[in-house]
This record gives sequence, C-alpha cells and structure tokens, in this order.
Amino acid sequence: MLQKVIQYFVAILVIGLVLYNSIYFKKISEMQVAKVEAAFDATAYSKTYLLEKIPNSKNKSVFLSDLILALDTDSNKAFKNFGHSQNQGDTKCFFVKGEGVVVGIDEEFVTLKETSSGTEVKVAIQYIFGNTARDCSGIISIDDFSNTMDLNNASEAINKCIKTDIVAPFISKVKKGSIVSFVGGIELSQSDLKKNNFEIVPLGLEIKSK
Amino acid sequence: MKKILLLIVLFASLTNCKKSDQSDEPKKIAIVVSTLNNPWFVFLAETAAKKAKDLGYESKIFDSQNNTALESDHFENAISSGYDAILFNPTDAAGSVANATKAKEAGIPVFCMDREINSKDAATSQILSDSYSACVQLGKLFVDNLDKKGNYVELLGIVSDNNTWNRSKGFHSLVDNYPGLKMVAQQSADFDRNKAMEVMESILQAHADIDAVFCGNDAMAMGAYQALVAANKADQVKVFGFDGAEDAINAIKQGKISATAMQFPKVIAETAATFADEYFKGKKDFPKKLPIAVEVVTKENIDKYIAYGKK
Repeated sequence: MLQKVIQYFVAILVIGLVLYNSIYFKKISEMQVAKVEAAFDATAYSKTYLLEKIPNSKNKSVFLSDLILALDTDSNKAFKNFGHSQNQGDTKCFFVKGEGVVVGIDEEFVTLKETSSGTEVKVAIQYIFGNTARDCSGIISIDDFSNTMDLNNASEAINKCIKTDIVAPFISKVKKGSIVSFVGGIELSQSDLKKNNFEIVPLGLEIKSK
Repeated sequence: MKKILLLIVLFASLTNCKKSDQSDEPKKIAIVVSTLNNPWFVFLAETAAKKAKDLGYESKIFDSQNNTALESDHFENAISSGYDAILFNPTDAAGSVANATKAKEAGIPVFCMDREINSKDAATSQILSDSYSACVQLGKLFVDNLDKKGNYVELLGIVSDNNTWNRSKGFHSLVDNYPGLKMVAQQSADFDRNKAMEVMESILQAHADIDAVFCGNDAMAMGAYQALVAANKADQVKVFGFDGAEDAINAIKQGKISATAMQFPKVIAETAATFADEYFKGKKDFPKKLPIAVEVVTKENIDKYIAYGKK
C-alpha cells in the first residue's frame, strides 16, 4: 500500500514538473513592450537635441583652428580625443566651432574664410544627410534607443530640423561679407584624411554683423 | 525503504541532470541562424562555429529557415539541451524578442549577430552592421553614377527585419533629395535571389525604361541581374547590392554590378563568439549594441576586398 502511494506521489510530481515547464503565462503588456518602444517621437527628440542640448553643450566643441592644429600634430590622438562615432569604423565626426567671413554663397554651401585658422570652410545649406549632426557632439548614445531604426530616425529628424530651424532663418539674412559664428559637425576619414575644404553640417549659425 | 531511497535518488538525478557539474566537459554554444539558404549567413554561422571551436567550445548550428516558430523550437531545444550560450541571428526584429527573453530567463546569454532584436536587454549584446550609414554612402555613389537623374527600382529585404529599413532609409535619406531620380517600383523580395529574379521580371514588364536597381542585399542584386540579362537590359541598368558576398564581389570585378556594401561577417561572428567566451570567464558588462562599420565596394577599390571582408 505504501509503495503504491509513493509511486502515485512520484508520478504526480513528474507530471506536475513536466506541465510546469511546458506552460507559462505572461502579461500581454510585457509582450507589447517592443511595440510600445517603437512609438519613438523622432521630431520631438530632434528639437530637444538641436535647440536645447546643443546650445547647452557648446563648451564640448573644439575650435576648428585647434582641431586643425591637433590633426597636424598627431592625427591619431586628435581622432581619439575629439572624434565621435556610433560604429567601430574609420570615419569619425567632430564637434567644432569657429567664426568667419562669408566669401561665397551658392545653392549648396555658404563658404566662410575662418578667422583663426585662415581656412575656407563650406557650411552645408542644401543637402543635410547622414549621421554627422547626430554623432558629432557625442551626446547621443546607441544604448539610449531600443533599436537602430529609432537611432536612424533620430538622424533624419535632426537633419530635417537643421534645414527648417537653423538653415532657413540663416540663408534669408546672410550676405557676402557677413561675419558668421558657427557650431557644427564635420566628418573625417582616418585613412583618407583631408585637412582642407572642410564641409560643416551646421548645428548653430549666428550672423554677427554685415 | 531501499526502493524509496532509490526512487528519490533517481528522481533527484533526473531533475538535476541539466544542472550537473559539467566542469570536465566543454561548454556548448548554440548558433541559431535565420537561414542557411543564403551563402552570407552560411559564412556567418560557420565562422562563429569555427571561432567557438578555436576557443575550446562545442557548437551546433540551427537553421531557422526564416521562420520564427522554428526559431522558437530551436531555442526550446537549446535551453533543454543545456547549451551555455546562444549566438543568434534573428528572423524577426520584434518576433524574436520572446525567444531571446526565454533564453535570458533560463540564464543563457544571447549574443545577436548582424540582425537586431527590438529590445535593449533581452540579449546580452548585439553586434550589428551599421547598415544605415553604409546606405548613405551607397546613395551618394548611386546619385553620382546616375548623374542625378533616371528611373530606378528598389528591392527590399524581409519587411519585419530592421536591416531592411535601415538600408532603405539610409539610401532614401540621400537619394530623395534629387527630384530627377524617380523610384518607379519598390517591392520586397525577402533577401532571396530566386524571388528577386521573379519580382524583377515582373517589374520589367511594367517598367521597361529603368536605369538602376537598388537591392537590400547581394542575393537580390544577383537575382535582379539575372532578370536583366534575360531581358537584354544588363548593359543599360546599374545594379547595387549590399553584403559583400562572393558572387557579388566577382560580379563587380566583371563589371556586372556597380557596387555593394561590404559587411564584415567574420568580425561580427568572431566578436559574438569571443563575447560568449568572455561571459563564461566572468565578464558581464558588454555593449548593448555594437555597430560594425560597413564599406562601399566598387570596381575602383575592389582590389582591397575579398568575399566577406578585406584582403
């Protein structure tokens, strides 16, 4: 009799164990996490980044003339100290600032003769694309996003915001001879480093005088 | 009494067999891959297996055949069979989260390779190609090659995969700035060569006058090229791919397709296996997402590259 009780007990225990490991319950809300996280407001994010975080982070940018000097002295060190990127590649973005006189305006660029370095720099006004604006400041981390689509949507929204909130008011006023102070991003390749003809994606532009 | 003791011992040994001390046996790594019907993923899986072996681990490759349900079965098997880590190439960015979470709850670390899941913490780390940035570069090349004007077709990958949209969005973030470039058709061919050929054949019947095809991977680029050859349009239409697969690299050398974007599956697979090794040795702090840069390959720089990587 005792043996049968034990046999039943073991059998029930084994069946219970199998059932316990076969069935599990989860809240629908937990299963919906991915969908909720997908509702990322890229436009609001880009406005906060460009109009609040960037102006408050100008002290993290490097003067263009200082960057040029650092690249001339030791480009590896300059890339390490000033470069930012989300990936492990050859190209890095740099958060730069400076001031210059407008020497040319065309459909794609406003060209400045930068005061401190004497270098001509092109400020993009027509085609703003890629991740330079997002990555140059080093403020944004991939780990802040639940997926890379949101990270890339942020890039596109920031680029659009630059055109409407930074470039549009600027090009309506800028003229040849204007003195312009800028903060922005440049992208440089370590293996194919070009230290002149910098193209700047503007993150802030201010006309100081005519 | 002896029988009772025997039963208890037997029961205890059965329930604890998974947790038994396996210190003498090598740890086991499951490599769960979305599909082995594409040479790129075969290379990814085999490289991961080789690296795992070199590090002293046993491994087994599981083919999910682009089916999330089958992938789920593989995870169940891996968990119940006592695998110690999973190197994971998911089938679905959202649908695969549950599988990775299941493994995490079982105490098994998951390292994603190439494809992403929509979660910050289900996987221990995700090693991904930076598809968006690469397609911005491909877009620049596309605009230059077409001299800013022409009709083109886009073949998308699997629509539930984030890589599909990261590639498409990166490309369009640039190309859509040029009104002279008109996309006459955009269809999914599921990253599959045969399907791409069929889709392209059907598109060519409706849109005979096209100048270029942008494809979300090399398998589709090769399928599209076959359809163009069959329609006697291969010389007029420029084809762009993505991956750096062997046949695409050969096709670029032969001038059959214009460009691809070289992902580095060796780097991705070896990093994932190395992370698993580090995890076993006690490291727990890994980058949640680690994007690997992708490089554009054309006839001009093809000498620097071989299939799936650099020379």
